[in-house]
Amino acid sequence: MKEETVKLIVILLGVASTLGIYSILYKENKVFRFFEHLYLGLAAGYSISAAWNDILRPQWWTLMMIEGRWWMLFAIPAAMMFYMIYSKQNSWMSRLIFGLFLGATAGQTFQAFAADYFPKFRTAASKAVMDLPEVNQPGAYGLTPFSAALNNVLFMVILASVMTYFFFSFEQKGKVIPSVSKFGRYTLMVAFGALFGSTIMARMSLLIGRMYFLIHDFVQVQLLHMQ
Amino acid sequence: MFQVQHGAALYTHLAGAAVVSVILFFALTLVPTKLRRPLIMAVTFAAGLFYALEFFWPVSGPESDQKNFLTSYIKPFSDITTVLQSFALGLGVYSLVSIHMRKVARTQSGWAYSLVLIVSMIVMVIAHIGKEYIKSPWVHQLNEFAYSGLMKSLDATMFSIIAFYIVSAAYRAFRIRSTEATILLVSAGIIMLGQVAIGQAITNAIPNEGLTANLRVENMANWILKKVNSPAIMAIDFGLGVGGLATALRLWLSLERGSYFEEEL
Repeated sequence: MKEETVKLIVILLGVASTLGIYSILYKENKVFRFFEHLYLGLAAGYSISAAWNDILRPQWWTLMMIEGRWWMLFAIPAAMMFYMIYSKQNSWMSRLIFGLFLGATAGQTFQAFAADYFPKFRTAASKAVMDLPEVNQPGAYGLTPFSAALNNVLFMVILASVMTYFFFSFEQKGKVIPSVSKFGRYTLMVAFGALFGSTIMARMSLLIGRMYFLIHDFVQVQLLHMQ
Repeated sequence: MFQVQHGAALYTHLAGAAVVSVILFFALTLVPTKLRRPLIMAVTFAAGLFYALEFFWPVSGPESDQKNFLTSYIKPFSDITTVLQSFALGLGVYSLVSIHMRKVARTQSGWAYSLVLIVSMIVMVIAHIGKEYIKSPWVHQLNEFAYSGLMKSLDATMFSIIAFYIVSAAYRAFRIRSTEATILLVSAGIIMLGQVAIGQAITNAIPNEGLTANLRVENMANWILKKVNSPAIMAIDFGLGVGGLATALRLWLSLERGSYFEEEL
C-alpha cells in the first residue's frame, strides 16, 4: 500500500472515530457504543503490548535470554501466584505475592514521607522568613523585599489554615480555630477554582486539537487540497 | 551461584531453575492452613522492612553518593516488582476477556460490541508487538491504522468530551450562591482568562512594569497559582501523606482489618 494511501486511511479513521465519539453529545447511540468498545479494546491491547515492549522484554526477557541471567526465570512462579486467585484450594498463594507488594508499597510510602514531605515543609517554612529570592527575578513586577516577605508569610498562613481546616482530631470550638478554619476553606476554594480553571483549559485545548484535525487535516487538506 | 551463563549452560541453568520453581510451587501448596497467615504476614513485613532498614541504616561514602549495604539493591528490587506488576496485568485482561467472551458465546444483548472489543484488542497486540519483530510493511501499516488512526484519535476525543460535561458541572456548581461558590468562580475565571489571549487583552492597557503590573490578569492568575494554590495543595498533600503513612503502617504490620484481610485461608 502506498504511503499516501496509508496516510489517507489514517486520517479517515481519525475522522470517523472523532465524529463517532462526539455523537454522544446528541444522545446515546449505537455508533458511539461501537467506538467506545473499540477504544476499550485498543487501550487494553495497547497496555498489553506496552507491558511487553517497554517492561517485560527489556527488563526480563533480554536479561534472562540474551544477558544470561537465568535466575530471572523465578519471576514466572512468583507471577503465577497472582493467578492462583482463581484456584479455590490455593487462592491463599495469591495473597503471598499481594502481601509482598503491600509491604513494599508501605516501605516506599514511608521513605517518600520521610524523605520528601518533611524537607518540602522545612523549605517552605524557612522560605517564609529567611529567603527573599523573588525580588529580582523576571516577572517580579514592583516586588519589594517587604511584599516578597508578605507573599512568603501568606504562603505559610494558607498552608497552616488549610491544615487546620482538615484537622478533625478535636472539635473546632472558640473564636480562633473556627475563623482560621474558615479562612482555610476559602483559600481551598481559590485553589479548587484554579484547578478547575486549569482542567477546563486543558480539556478545551484537546477539543481545539480535535476541531483543528477535522477542519484543517481533513476538510482543508484532504477534501479541498488546501495547504 | 548466581553467575551469568551463556549458550548450552544457560539452557541447563534455566531448566534447573524451572525444576526448582516447580518444586517450590508444589511445596507451597503443602503449607498447612494455620501457617499460611503467618507466612503472608512475614513476607509483607520483610518487604516493608527492606525499605525501612535502607532508610535508617547508617550511610557512608562521599557526600554526593552516600549509601549503605541495602541501597544498591533498591533498583533491582524495584525492577523486579515492575516486572511482576506487568505479569499481573494478565489478571485484568483475563477478567475483561472472560466477561466479554461469555457475552459473545451466549449472544447476550450487546454481544457485537463485546466482539468488537476483543477483536480490536487482539489486533492492537499483534500490530504493536508485531512491529518490533516483523519487518513486513503490513504489520507497520496495521499499527499505523490501529494506533495513529484510531487509538490516538479516540484517546484525545474521549478526554476532550469532558470539556462539554465540565461546563454543565460548572453551571450547576455556580448556581449555589454561596461565598465559597463565588470564590471558586472568580478564581477559575481569572485562571482561564490568564491563559488565553482574549483574557490577557482585557488588561493589556495596564503597563507591564511597576506595581500596577500585578493587576494584569495573567499576573493575577500566576499569583493565585503560586501563592494560593501551591500552599493549599501542599496542605492537602500533607494530609494525604499522613493518611498514607498510617495506612502503610497498618498494612506493613498486618494490622489492617476488613473482608480481604480476615477471610479464611
